[in-house]
Amino acid sequence: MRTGSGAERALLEVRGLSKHFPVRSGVFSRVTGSVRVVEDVSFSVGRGETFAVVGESGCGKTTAGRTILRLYEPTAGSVVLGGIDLAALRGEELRKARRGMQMVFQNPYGSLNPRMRVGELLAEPLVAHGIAKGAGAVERVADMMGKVGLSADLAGRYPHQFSGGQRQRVAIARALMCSPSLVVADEPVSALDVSIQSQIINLLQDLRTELGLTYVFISHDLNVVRRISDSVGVMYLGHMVERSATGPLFERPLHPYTEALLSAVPSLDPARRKRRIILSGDVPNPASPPPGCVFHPRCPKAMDVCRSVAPAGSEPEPGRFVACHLYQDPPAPVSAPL
Amino acid sequence: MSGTNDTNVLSVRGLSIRLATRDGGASVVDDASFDVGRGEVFGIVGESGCGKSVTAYAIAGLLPTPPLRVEAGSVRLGGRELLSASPAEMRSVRGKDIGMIFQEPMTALDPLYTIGEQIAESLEFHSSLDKRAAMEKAIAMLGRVGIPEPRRIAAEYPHRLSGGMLQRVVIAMAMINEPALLIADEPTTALDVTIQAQILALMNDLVGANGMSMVLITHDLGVVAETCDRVAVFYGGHLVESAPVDRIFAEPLHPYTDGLRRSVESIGGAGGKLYAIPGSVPSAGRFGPGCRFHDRCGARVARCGIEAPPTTVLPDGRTVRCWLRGEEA
Repeated sequence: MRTGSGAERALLEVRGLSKHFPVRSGVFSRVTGSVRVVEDVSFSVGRGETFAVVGESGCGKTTAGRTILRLYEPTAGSVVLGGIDLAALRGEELRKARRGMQMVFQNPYGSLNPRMRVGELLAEPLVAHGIAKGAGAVERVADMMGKVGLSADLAGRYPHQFSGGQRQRVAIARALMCSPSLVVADEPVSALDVSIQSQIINLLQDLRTELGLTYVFISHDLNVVRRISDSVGVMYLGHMVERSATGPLFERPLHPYTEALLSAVPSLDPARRKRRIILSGDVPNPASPPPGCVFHPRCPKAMDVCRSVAPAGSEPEPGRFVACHLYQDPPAPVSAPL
Repeated sequence: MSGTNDTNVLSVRGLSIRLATRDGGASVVDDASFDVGRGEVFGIVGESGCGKSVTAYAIAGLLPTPPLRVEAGSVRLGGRELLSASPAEMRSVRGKDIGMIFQEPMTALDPLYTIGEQIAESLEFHSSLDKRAAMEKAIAMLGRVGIPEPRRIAAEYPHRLSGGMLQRVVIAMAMINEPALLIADEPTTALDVTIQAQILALMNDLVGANGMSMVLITHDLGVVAETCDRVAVFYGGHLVESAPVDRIFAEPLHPYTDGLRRSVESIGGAGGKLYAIPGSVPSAGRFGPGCRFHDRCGARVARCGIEAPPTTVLPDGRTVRCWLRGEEA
């Protein structure tokens, strides 16, 4: 799916996004190679929708999220938010655009300055962007604290005086102070206890409806992703190997990696113990990815062609993208170099 | 719970642990009792601060004292009381009779010694094997835990291996002396799901093949459902419920277990609002005299806030610590 369907109404269009980090070595730290952390990733997210990026550690999902927000400079590709190409923006224009896109991190304690009171933390973005100050800011802070389920009386407290769940509410409130249209949430509930996770997920869902937010939700937790996203992109070793609406992806995964990933999720039903695809081996080092399809060394369905030829993406069903030789149409030529 | 008998490898009775604080101390684990049978995988599940790891550390005699201290209770391993054992006696128990696996494999490994040396050291310490024989046995064990090219890996240092491989090394180290009991504290929490599936399958195979017992500590109900035979649920230092794993999620007795199950199931379900237990987990030292879950409990009655419920043992051996269930029994 190279031409995004419904490109007109999409809020976020990511096209061919790549991020490579240089590898330096030797006495003079010369650039001797590069790690392709994100490679040719494309997807679009409609206004008010949630797009989930899933994958295991090191798959490039966090880097993808940060590159979308221009926290990292993209190596290639474009990111269009509300019709504006972010990759082309500089200086003041970029600063203005940043108001419209915010990030929520996994560890709220790491993203909140411990020396600032919560009220100050929440007012800071307003002042920084010249939106409000003084009494106006105080009023907006109290209003936002109410929206995320915190009593406005707590504005005088410091982050360490809150529980983990409350701190994540503060981090969410801070991200929303400048009324962004896009929120990139990177594992926002992973550090929280099970009984608190549900509270924060409900909050994110409510805010999405109430404020018309669009989410890019980065997670390794497939249960959470299934629950809250409209569509999903599965990443492995920098590549987006499958992209689909959430329902069909979970009901009938196409890519062998997606299939294995879904079957690896522990289930509450002890009777499900037996049906499991256990992948052998580890995720390879992204600095020296395997040739051909990056998943082939662990793939239970690997064919000869997979070892030498990287699969081009195909769309075996409308709206479903998969990068796998099993779904190449017409079947990939088996004329691999001898 | 069916009292102590010789099929039980581990028997914990009335275990209470306190944390010393400036204002007089806090109860971290209060009156916990459970048994682990031979060949059984026993899960201890709960959220952060519920006392699950502290309980495991107390069993292995690794409680940092001070500030933590066992206040009361008994821990018997194969009939032998461990709480009164001397530090030297406990050193010979750990690694030989009790093997331990932690969340972060690097906490158990020394970066300055090779993988093989570290596994062999445990053998030499607890047996009469010489260096050469111990190394051969260590290499064989690495093969059994699914390390490819075990002879080459035995000569490597820990930093050369991935997290999943290191956890296999730690499992090999914990099992090398064929202990009667394996204690695994969140052994797969730091790993990716596809690697977690590998490690859980490996641990199940090894425990099954050796007639070993295992105490598996985790916050992940899915991991419990996948691996355990029986499970104890901790909340705020109280063991609130214990039951066979196929019963506890099908038919939870304690309102907290029910809440946990409903949270996890509703995350996996479709549409609508997620079920969430209201409130947040209290920290140790902030507990009142009553049931520690009462302020988050939808089923509470007046008594719950005033007096802690006793543990009720049901006719089928399940236990529950709740006033509502206590009345019925």
